[in-house]
Order: sequence, then structure tokens, then C-alpha cells
Amino acid sequence: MKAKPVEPVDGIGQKLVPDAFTLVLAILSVIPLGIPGYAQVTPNFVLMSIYYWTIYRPDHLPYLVVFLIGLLVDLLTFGPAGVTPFALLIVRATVLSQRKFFVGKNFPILWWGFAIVTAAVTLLIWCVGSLYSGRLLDPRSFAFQAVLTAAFYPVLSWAFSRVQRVMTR
Amino acid sequence: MAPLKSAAQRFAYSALVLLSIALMVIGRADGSLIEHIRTKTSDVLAPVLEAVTQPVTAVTDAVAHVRALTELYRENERLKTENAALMQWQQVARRLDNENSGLRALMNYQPEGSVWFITGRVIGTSGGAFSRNLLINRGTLDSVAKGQAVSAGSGLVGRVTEVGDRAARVLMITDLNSRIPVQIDGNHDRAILAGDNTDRPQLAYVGPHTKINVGDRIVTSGDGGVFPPGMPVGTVASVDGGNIRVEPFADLSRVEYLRVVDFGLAGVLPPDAVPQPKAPRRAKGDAGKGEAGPTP
Repeated sequence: MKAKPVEPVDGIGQKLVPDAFTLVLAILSVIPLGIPGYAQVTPNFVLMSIYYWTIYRPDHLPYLVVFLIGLLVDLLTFGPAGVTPFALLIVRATVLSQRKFFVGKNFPILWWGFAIVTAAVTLLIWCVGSLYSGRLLDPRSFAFQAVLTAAFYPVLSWAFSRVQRVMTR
Repeated sequence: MAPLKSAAQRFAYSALVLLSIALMVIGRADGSLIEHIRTKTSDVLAPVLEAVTQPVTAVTDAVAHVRALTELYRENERLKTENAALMQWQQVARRLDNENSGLRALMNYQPEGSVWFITGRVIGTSGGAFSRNLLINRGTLDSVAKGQAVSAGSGLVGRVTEVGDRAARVLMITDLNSRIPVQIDGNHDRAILAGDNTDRPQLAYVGPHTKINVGDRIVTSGDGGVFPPGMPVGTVASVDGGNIRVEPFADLSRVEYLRVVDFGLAGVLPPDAVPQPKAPRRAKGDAGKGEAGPTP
């Protein structure tokens, strides 16, 4: 009964790591970096985080957290509220259903999977956004943002895997 | 246990997806609730964002400093030439000022409201392709109010559309929802500067007999009483049939510090005194996010 009383706390702490990471990334993505034009094409860091953790630790990033962080992104970026949580929830559900395929695969396949997810999400957000604002939004910045997001994935993925290694030690 | 958990998960998923869709519908139908939540969120997170941007600003300032040092000599030469030119303009301005005050005295002209301004730092950007807006670290506590003009350096940046205690949201002139009544400097032909999320907003509703050339200066017209007349906005960058693009004077892609200016125009009518149906949204340069209450 009294064995290892510290473990549950550790467990909760570990559980919160993906959530905390995603939250921090959501805030970081609105920070002005002083790079011309960066604000419009900021890579979708939150998407990377959700993709990664859904594959490796789906139990640590529940739907409710995905929804809340998506909503926060919409509120902070002034985008139409509801669009990001909608897209992210679908991403989590889709990736979760394909999880068995991804787990244990080498990195290029995971990256390829992420690129497809990014393209699909960008298309979805563009469609919903255009529908919402009642006119076709300029697709160029969306496309550029998608390319940047896919390109940045290896960096974030590497960082997540380091964190995960520390977590599971 | 497992099937129960997965059923609960499926329920949570469906419920949250429906909630997202509901939020979109609510936001589309009545922006005020979402706006309220947004303002509160910005307010709560403003200190966090401010703390995080501090080191970023420090680094960009340092880089700019080093770059400035290397170009000191050339900059000095350029400034000397510019100064010589400006001295001449100063003479002209003094003469005109004298003439102006003389004429005003003759006409018994009532001067416009006093100009007040406060400088704020950008602590958040839109972070996406959806909109062009900025979050600044000034709010109602600093007397910032909805509808005030925001400028940086030499030109108009946009106007305050949402304001919390510590933070305010600036809708840039390049945003999809931005409509600014402008005129062509010199001939007073009116038009509307319409943003479309690109770097160069479009000049719309130009009169059929208006002649517009590349390089024409565009200034605010003062119609609608949001901005005073004559605020510099930008220059005409391209004329391609009906598609006229304006290059803003302010470098909107990287603004760090902004000036929120109150021209005292709100003093005539308090922000919420104008009933909404009577407020023509386009002419007031007020669209989209400002649905909750018309700007003065």
C-alpha cells in the first residue's frame, strides 16, 4: 500500500507534458518575431504537436484539451472562432484511427503522413474560412504556411522525441 | 472498462465537434459574445505575451542596432541631404501656418479636438493567413478606446477594434474586413481603401471620372468621422484597369511600436451613442469584427 507514493504525481506530471507543450506552442505562434511577413505564414506548431502526441501518446492529449487549445488559437489569432478546434479534432480522430499504421514506422513515412495531414487541414481551414467570410480567401499564404509547417516538422518532432525520452525514463 | 472508455471518447469527440460548429455559427450570427470572450482572453494573456515578447524585442533591437552602426556613415550623408530638403519645407510650412491661422481668424473657424496619443508595443500577431491584425499592450487602463486610429512611423496602420483592460486589438488596413474612407491627395476624389489580406490593399469605389496615377498619395478623407482628414495612408503602387493597389507608408509586415491616436472625434458622439441600423458600415470604415457596436 505504501509503496512508491510519488508515482501518481509523476504520472500526472507526465500526462500533462503533451498538453503543456501544445499550449506553449499555441502561445509562441502569435509572438511577433520581427521577420517581415512571418505573421501570415507562421508554421502551424500546434498541428505538429497534436500529430506527434496522437501517434505516440494519444492518452495524454485528450479531445477536450485539443478543443480548448484550438479555441485559444482562434481567439488569439482573431480567426473565426471554432474553425481551428474543428480541424484539430478531425486531425486527432483521423490520425488516431491510422495510428497502428504509423507506430514503429521510420521517420520519412511519419513525415510524409504529416505532410498529407497538413495539406488536408490547410484545405479544410481554407474552405471553412472562405465559407465563413463569404468570399474566397487568398490561397497563396495558406499554401505557403502549409509548406513551412511540413518543412518545420522534423525539428519539432526531434524536440518532442527528446522530451518523450526524458518522460519515459 | 475499455469499451466504456472508447464510447466516452467517441461521445466527447462528437460533442466537441458539434460545439466547434456551434461556435462558428454563433460567431457568424452575433459577433459580440465571441468578441467578449476574445477580449477577456487577450486581457488575461497580455502579461504572458508581453513577458515573452520582451526578449524577442531585445534581440531584434540589438540586431537593428548593429546594422545601424555599420551604416552610420551612409545614413548620416542621407540625413544631411534630407535635412536640407526638409529645411525648405519647414519654411513653406511656417509660411502656410501663418497664412492658415490668419485665414482661420478671418473665418472664425472652430479648431478640431485636441490630439492625444499613446505608444504601445506589439505583443501578438495574427499568426495565420486568416486576418491581418495586431495585439498591443495598451487597453482601457491607458485610455485606449474602440475606433481610435493607430499609426506607425509615417503612416496609418489601422484602428482599434477590440479593447480590454490591458490589451487592444488593432485591425490593420490590409485586413479583409478593413474599409477606410480615403481621398487622393491633391484632387480630393473620394474612394474606399479595402483590405483583402494581401500586403497592398485595394482602392475601391473610385469615381468614374477620377484619374489615378501610380505614385499618387492616398490620405484619409475623414468621411464617417473615424479618422481625421489628411492622415497619410500610402501611395498608389499599381493601376491595372479597375484594380488599383496602394502601398501603405507604414511597414506593416514588421511593426514593433505603434501610436494609438485619439483625435477627439469620439468626443462628439460617444462610441455607442450611434444606433447601429443608422450607421452605414462601409462609409464608416467599420465592418466585420466591429459588428458589436459601431465605432464613433
